[in-house]
Amino acid sequence: MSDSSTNDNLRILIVDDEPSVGDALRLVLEAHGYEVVLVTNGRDGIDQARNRRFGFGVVDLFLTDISGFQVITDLLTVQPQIPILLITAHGSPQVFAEARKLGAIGALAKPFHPSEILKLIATHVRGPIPDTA
Amino acid sequence: MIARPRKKILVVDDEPTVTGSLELILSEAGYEVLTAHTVADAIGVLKQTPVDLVITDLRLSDASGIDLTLHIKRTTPDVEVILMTAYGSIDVTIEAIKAGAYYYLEKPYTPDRLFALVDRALQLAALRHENESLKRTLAGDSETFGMIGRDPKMCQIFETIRTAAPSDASVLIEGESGTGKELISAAFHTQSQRADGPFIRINCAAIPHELIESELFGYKKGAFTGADRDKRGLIEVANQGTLLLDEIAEMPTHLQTKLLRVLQERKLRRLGDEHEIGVNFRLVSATNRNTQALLDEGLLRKDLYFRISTIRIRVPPLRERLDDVPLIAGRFLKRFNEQYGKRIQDLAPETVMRLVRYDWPGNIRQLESVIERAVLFCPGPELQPNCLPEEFQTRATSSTFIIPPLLPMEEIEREAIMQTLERTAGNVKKSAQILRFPRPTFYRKLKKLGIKVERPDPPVATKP
Repeated sequence: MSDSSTNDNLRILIVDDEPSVGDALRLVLEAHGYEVVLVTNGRDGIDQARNRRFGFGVVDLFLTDISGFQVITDLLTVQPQIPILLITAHGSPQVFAEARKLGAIGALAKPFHPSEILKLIATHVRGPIPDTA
Repeated sequence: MIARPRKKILVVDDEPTVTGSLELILSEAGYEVLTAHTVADAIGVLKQTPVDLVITDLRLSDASGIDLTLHIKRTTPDVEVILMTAYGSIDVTIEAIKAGAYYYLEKPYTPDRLFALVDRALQLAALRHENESLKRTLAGDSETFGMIGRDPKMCQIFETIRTAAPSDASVLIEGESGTGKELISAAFHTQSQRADGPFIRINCAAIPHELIESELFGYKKGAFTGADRDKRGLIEVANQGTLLLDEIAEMPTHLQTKLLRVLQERKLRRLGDEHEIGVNFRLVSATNRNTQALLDEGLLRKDLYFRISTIRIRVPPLRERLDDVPLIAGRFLKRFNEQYGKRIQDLAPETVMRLVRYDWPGNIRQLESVIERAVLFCPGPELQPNCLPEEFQTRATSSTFIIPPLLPMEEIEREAIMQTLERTAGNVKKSAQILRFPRPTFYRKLKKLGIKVERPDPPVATKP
């Protein structure tokens, strides 16, 4: 694992098998100065977290290999401090409650406006908030 | 982030997260962003709001991004299109470019790449726009410095103004009355660094000779009877600006010498004052007479002439650029339509014919008043020749000869036949051919009219 630094906090992990959504999120986050690592399945996401530190994680519920719930659990095992947001097109109160129980900071139903995620990340990422002006 | 101009961009994608993200970062970059999720939506938006650029996904639910591109290029060719797709292939790229897409953006792309492409596409759109207006200018359809003309001599004048106006060089404009000398001199002022300074115009022909001096140079209180206070002259008033001396040859020669001294020393002395005042102005002179003749007659001092004619412009009279007449007439038609609340669509073709056959002794000023009068009198949607003044009614018909009044047809025929016979040295066969008469008919006419042919037709064995 790399040394912890302020830059690590600006690194965001996105786990989403829908490339259009992942790419769109990456575009917005990169435009706001974050470094984005985008993977399309759960196991790749956990592997990434084993290798470097992230300041925030965005995880889709339905993935091609393992469920988003499993990814949240494993990510928090590897990096217990990471704030994680669940995103899903099949949001229900039960799903949202389960995500929180597993340790996610919250859940967001698709479709959402990227500005919502941007706001959440800005409030949860520790260290200097990138200049978004 | 750098403030960008508020250009309008339409983003089309069926995935709201994609339109949302592009909307967010592009609007943060200073663009005005509209979004649509289908081709139908996009076409609806474009009908309502003109945009500068469209960024569209290739795959949309109701049609493809290429269909949208084709629609845009058909309806609003100036709008640039960027096509984005995750499914890039050479075939699709070629298809997109054939459809007229400016660029092809393959996903995933970085914000830098997006901004660079958007910038370039918008620059291209602006350039294209500029090109169009430049083309219109070159075609002479739009005004240059308030003047219209595609005649090469006029274009040359516009070019001289563009290049020489920023300098302080003296300008001499020669041209008949009504050719637009004042507009040209005003252009030299407005296109110069002195544009914010005063533009002072004096018509030397309009001021009594004895007053020109005090008008130009000013006077000190008590300089002469009636000089009850100090007065600045117009040269002083033109300080930091441009002075137009119209009809400069009307200036008395002793004042020409005085003016020359001011131009050389950039200083002047008011009448009755012993102190000199520094002056800084650009001189534009104009005359409606041929300067060579003025020099020969001694009306214009040679030394002054050399001083004031660093740049010499000869404005062609309207009769030397008759091709510009319809263009200028059209512009006046539009102006007087607005002024008098008329709705005359066009000049009738015959009206144009008569205007270009006239020699315009009063030049553009005369053309202006002819069109103004015609607009006032014209009842219909087209400006007919009968709305033109009298001088356009008699001369410029297509007829090449004038028949004396009160002449019966028989006399006209006799005259036509006599003159033709005369021209053919009495050759009946040739005359019949020219007048398109069968020969027997021609002989009958000759007999009936009592015309005797002095030279007999040579005997030729032909049947009628």
